[in-house]
Amino acid sequence: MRRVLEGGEKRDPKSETRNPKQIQSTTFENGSGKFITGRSHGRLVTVPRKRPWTHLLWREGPRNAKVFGEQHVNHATASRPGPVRSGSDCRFVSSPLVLVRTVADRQLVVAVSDEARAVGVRAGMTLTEARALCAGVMHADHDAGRDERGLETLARWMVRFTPVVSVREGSSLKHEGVKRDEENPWGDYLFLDLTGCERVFGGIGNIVRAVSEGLSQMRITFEIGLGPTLGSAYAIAACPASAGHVPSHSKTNLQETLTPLSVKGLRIDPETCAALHHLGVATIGQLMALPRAALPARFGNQLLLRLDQALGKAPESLVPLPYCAPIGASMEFEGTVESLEVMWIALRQLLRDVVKELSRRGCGAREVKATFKRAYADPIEKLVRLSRASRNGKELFELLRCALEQVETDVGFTGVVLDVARFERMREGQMSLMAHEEEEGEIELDRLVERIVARMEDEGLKQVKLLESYLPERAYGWNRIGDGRSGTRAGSPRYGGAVRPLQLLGDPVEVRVVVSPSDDRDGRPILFRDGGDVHELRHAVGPERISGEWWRGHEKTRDYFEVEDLTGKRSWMFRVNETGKWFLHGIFG
Amino acid sequence: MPELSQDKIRIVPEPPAEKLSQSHCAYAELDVTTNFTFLTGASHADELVLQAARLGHHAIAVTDVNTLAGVVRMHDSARQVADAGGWTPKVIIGTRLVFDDGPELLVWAPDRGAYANLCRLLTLGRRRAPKGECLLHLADFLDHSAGLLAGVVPSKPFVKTARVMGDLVNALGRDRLSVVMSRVYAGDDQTRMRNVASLAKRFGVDLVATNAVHYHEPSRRALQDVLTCVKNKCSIQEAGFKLWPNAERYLKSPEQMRRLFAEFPGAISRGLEIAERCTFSLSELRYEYPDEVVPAGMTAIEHLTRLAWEGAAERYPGGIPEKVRGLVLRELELIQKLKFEAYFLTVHDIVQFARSRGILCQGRGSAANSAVCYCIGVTSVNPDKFNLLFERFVSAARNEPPDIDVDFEHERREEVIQYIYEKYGRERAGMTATVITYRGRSAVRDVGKALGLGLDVVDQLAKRLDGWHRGTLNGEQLRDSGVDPNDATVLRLVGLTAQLLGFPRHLSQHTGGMVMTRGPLCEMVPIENASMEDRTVIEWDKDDIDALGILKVDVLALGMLTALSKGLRLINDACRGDACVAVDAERRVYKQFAAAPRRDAGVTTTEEERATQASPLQLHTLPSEDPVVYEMCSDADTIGVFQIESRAQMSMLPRLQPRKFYDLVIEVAIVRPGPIQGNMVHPYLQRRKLLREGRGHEITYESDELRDVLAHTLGVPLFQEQAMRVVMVAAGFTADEADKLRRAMAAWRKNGAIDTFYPKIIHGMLDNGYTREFAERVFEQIRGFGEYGFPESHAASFALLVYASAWMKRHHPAAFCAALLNSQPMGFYAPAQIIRDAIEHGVEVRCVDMNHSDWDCTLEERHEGTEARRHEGRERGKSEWGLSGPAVRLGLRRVKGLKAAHVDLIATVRQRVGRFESIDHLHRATGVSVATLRLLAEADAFSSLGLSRRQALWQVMSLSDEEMPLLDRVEEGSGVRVAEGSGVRVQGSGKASAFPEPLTLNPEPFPAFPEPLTLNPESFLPRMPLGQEVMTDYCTMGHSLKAHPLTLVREELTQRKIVTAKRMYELDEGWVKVAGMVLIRQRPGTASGIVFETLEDETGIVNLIVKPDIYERFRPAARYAGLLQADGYLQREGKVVHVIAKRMFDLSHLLAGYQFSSRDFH
Repeated sequence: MRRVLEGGEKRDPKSETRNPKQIQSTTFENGSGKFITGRSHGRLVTVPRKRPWTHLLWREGPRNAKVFGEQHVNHATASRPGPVRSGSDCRFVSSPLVLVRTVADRQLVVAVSDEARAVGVRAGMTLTEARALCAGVMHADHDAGRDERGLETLARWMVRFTPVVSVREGSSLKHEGVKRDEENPWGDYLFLDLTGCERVFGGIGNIVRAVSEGLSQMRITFEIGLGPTLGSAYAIAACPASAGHVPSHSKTNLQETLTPLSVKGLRIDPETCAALHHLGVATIGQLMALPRAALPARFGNQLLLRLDQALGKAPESLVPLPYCAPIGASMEFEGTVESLEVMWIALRQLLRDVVKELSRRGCGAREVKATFKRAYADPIEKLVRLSRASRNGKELFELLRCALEQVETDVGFTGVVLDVARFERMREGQMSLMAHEEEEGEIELDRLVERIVARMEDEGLKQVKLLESYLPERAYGWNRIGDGRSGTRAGSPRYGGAVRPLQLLGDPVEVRVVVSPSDDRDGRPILFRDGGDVHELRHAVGPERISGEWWRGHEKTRDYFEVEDLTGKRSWMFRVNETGKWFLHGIFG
Repeated sequence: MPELSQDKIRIVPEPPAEKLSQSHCAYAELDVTTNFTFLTGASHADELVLQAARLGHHAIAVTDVNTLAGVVRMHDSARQVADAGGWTPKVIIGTRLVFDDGPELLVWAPDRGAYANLCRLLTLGRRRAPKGECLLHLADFLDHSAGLLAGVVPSKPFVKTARVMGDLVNALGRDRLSVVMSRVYAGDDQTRMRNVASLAKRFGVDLVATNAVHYHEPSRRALQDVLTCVKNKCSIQEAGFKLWPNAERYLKSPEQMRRLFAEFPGAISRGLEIAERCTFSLSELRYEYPDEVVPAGMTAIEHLTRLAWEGAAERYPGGIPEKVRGLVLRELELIQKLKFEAYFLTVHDIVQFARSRGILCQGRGSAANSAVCYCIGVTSVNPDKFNLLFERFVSAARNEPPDIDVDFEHERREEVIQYIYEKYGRERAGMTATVITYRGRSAVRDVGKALGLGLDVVDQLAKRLDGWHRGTLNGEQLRDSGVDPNDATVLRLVGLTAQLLGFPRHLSQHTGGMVMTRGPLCEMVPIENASMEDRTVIEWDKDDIDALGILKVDVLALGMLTALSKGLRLINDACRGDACVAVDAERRVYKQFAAAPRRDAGVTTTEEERATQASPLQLHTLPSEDPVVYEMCSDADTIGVFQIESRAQMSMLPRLQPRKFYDLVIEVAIVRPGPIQGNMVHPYLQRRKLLREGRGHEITYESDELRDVLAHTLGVPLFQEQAMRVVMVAAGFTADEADKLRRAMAAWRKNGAIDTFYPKIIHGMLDNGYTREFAERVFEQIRGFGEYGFPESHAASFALLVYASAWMKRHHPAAFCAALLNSQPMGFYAPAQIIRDAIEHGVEVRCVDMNHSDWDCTLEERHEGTEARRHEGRERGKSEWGLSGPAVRLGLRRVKGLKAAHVDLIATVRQRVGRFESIDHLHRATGVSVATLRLLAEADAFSSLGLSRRQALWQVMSLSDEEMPLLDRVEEGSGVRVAEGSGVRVQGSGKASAFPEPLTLNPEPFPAFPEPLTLNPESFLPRMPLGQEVMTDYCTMGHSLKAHPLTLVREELTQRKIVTAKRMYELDEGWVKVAGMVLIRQRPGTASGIVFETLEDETGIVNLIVKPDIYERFRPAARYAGLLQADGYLQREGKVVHVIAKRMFDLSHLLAGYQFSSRDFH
């Protein structure tokens, strides 16, 4: 299966499938929605932009990649039993893929693609078992947190149908409330309270259709249940047999509607469910036939509560997803504006509005997107990132100005839109007395970094970090300053007994050395000649013997000496023991 | 098998003829970490010794971290090199002590006393830490430092070291203390060395030079780095400063060391001085037998002689046969000469203890070659009937202790072990360790991970090394795993894996080797904790012990002995119970005697009762040579019978047609890799056929001597002893040479040592007038034996158990079934098959019921007029000898999740109240938790109350542990506690609560509890369909008496044109489709990858043969399916019918929800 990916790259999947590392670095989100309490059979898979191995995921990406911000949305059928309603136009990648979670040294399969299911792989197996069934099975790590966020994103999308959208009957979206490790026993679902909304859409049927179409476009498999109560809607969605048709939602025949449905649709805990199963009680109808008074003693209060909630005899409220209004400002010009100065004035004005709103909410911006509309050309978008939240208008303005420096103004602008894409609550912490200066310095550095990044784009700035390696030329690396965060400065690894020069030569310079005693490989240098300069050495400390990194094919061993010549100049030099050649590698300051 | 441990035998490289470096300077390396400092040292002891010898080191110490586990290897390597005529350095025994509160110390033992101190110290540290760890404080060392020489390893900052120097100087004196200085080419060597020197000077202590050796040559650096990564669970790319910067920690030549320490010449000579003072060698460890076993006033040999003759008189009531008399005399003489008498007495003592406690036991292995062992009751192989080869057991030339393995009932072996600990004390008895070494698979895995290869690739590579191959990877295997064999990383992987093979990884406990000494054992070897409670393990393994000549007794566990013991008890009690048959038809007559086989209260009474009994059935009093037993065996009707229940054995039985005991011995021995690979099976069967057809005279022998040796196996050598005797009579080997040959046979796979015997055998036989062709054939046969041949005596020991279990199965199928079920897990078959087999033989098997069942399965009287449950498969010709016997009442042990203590409680209370009238009654009377009741309900154990599973569950669910105001109810006179888990709230999740604590009972009689329910649950609870009943039976108990699961899907199967097993047996050869639940998957090592699978349906069993290509092609189904469909060719071979599978499909989805388990790949 080949396909042209975003960016026009054509990849040979065979060569890709061989490389497990790439897959591992992909993360998945298994949001799956319950709409109008709809239950999805799908795992939502989001893949960051520009990743070329998208096709390795279960299905191909969506036609409309703009749905969730700018993320591709892929999906696959998850591991739950039941009919899989997936878009038939989906094309499949041929390799089976599973998501795994590592539990106590064992890699457990948590979700299975159709291809993997076809060869007998099931959720709950270990990866090894899955491999035994199908040697070519690929796997990626399951990321429950991203699933959670995916579901939330989907819930936000649903807000277009009703202001009251709830993720799992109002479980807090603040993630600390949700235990990550526990599989949600009732699956992923969303509740939409459509009361009153049908009039906007011209009937509830239209909403259902719109939701279905939207989800199909996102290639999410789903079940929709529609009911007068939360519980009944869930029960209908949870029973795939009934989900094919959207039942009427009148209260009068609610009891009949629920009678054939499985008790699993009551959102009861698995133990109760198992106990009912053991008693042979499979449907809500059978449950209702049991003597009501005998139930609490046997199953606790939850069962009756859930039953009553489904029947509308007990109240249940939704906790809607908190709405968070975006912060932004925009300005349309009356004609085209070509002068940068005017633009700046406009920007200042807009920023004033934005900063006001930020202050009102006690927040600071972390990401500001500026869109400059042009008359006869595509708008120019500039994204400015900040390493710490800020609502300082001047600061923001300077950054935007930096970003605007390279923008061509020939065509002329027709408007500016400012959008604070990311903002967060500002820390109003007390600064410690002693560390104040240091912190100030850090802030200064951050500012500098932000400005440079704004001017030179992401790739422009790098930061040195120390690595753990004995070989001096491998003992450092570069950190990219991607999101404006200046990275960790502390915690640089250092090797205990060794002395390292401040200045390391890019390439070691070969020098000619006189050694004493000359016949001895353990001899110390007494003189070296660098080009025309002769350095007579006062003393040489060493050797520090450093062997090559054999796993990278470096088998040679070096003896490093710290030497000082008669003028007091200190250098760092080494002999390659295998060849006996000498090199100058560094200079002490 | 004692001789099967050659995994640990490493091929010792050629020793150097002389010292390679004829150096004028001497040096002793005093700091050597071998690979017994797990995941740190990167060289084997022998490599280090040889390298030191080559370099001409004066001495080499072994100083592993807080352990002496590797010292024997070092000692033994040096001895082997010396034996081979090479020069070796002196081996100094020492340890690197790592404290939690001080600098590291190198400690060397100059003499036996100091060594004892060191062992005590390490024992102390290890006994107080969890398994495999050692926790020492510096103060411990100061207490145990007497006699020891020590070197302080100063670590930065030196201030810390300096702080404890004073204490050390005080404890040891300046004479015995040194400061260790090493030079490993760090950048600051010069400063550091001077600092160390000044530290030493400050305290007036000498410096000693070492090189902190971790490997024998610099090329091992890569392996050492990899080990570091494995230890730190990181990859080599991430390891960074966890690695060492260079490869300097190898054994350097004396010249090199002298040059490195030119500034401190005293440090080198101090090392030599220490080496000079260490005169201790492990060969000084003289093993001394415990003397408890000899009564006062007698010498050990006197006592043994007396026991032997007394035993002989008992064994042969009709007079001791001449042959035996001669054997015993000769053996006693040899035993006295080799001073092994105390060993025999020790074993005798253990066996005696087991007998006194009613624990069945039997010696086996080479010990069964001894007439003395037979006489003193250790083994059961009658020397009068068998040709024993005492040389196989004890050899005068090989100064090695004999090896006696004794099997005990597996459930009661711990009693024996604890007896030994008790008798000799923890200080004097310990269990042998087993060194777990790197095998192909684990080595590839660890090296691969360390090299940073993806888990996928590593798993792939590891998988290619299926099983226990010792080999390393070849190009083909690599390519198969999708790896380029020429890739540099892969080449490194291959090379490092090869180096890592055989490296010790950790110590584990041996299956049962016990070492006992006269003096404190902990002064001979450090003792550490085992992962199992109440066990202590020494640091040395079996080979180490052998090398030092220390004796051990193998206390092994055998499930069949447990089963036989339980079965005999059931039978004996049942026979006695005859008198009270009529007392109460409802009550179980057999039960009350059989009730308490295991638990404390029962033992003594049962013991007494048995004593008063006239002639209870015992293992050695079973009627012998019963023809119907052999008839059953010949029909391969041997499910559950010891040893001959495997597929291979069952297909051999009809061909061999055993008719007498010796045939069973052969049966046991012939289905072994040795005879099969040596191509001895077919010749033997052919000759046997000749014999049966009355053409025995056609069997020819090459010579009369060989006739003597081979006549009882019709001219085909089947046993190890025969191979040895053949070379003795035909090739002129002495007994000791023959023994060497045997050891070579055992190890030929490793080093091909057996081929060195080739010329001697061939020439010997040619000289004695045999043809070359015959000689070659004999050699090939011997070679083929390899490690997998059984000694005859061993086979005979096993055959005794085969006969006993077969006898019980034939004559007491109910007791046999119950005993097997009570001894689970054991054997080849799952309980469901054992139950089914019993039913097929006419035994009535009754379901678990809380009003009838105990924890164990029991025997009940067969009701008048009840027909045994007829099973459809019975017409297949299985006999119904169980029809007239008692019925088996399944025990509640079959119910998953129940606890024995709770069931005992129920049984005890039941005895008093007679019968539980309702669930509520049971709950109130016993106070067992609701969770337990729930398990009972789910297992359908309330049928005697007329309650179905769901009804019972419904009732149980209304109960609560908390609302038990009458918890502490007691009945008069009984000290039995009736309440369970008071105050312990048990979640209704099926987990039973903790063991009950005693409570007082109050004398109020039990009121009758009329069920207060006004509603009849039957009216609203749906009935459980049969399919689900069966399913639930399987889920809760692993079997069902209601129906076979396949009956539920038979319709579907018929649609697929699948025939039943019964129908299949009527078909002619040809294409057939069968299906069934997979009972067993087996891949015998000898069958070149062929997998045998056994399927079961409601009518019988189908034997599948799966060729490797088919297996691979249908791997998911073949390997994992619970319900398997197989299409293939039906093949008949006499009475045995196979299906050669060509296609296989997984039908498990038809039975979705069941939990079956097959026994895979035993």
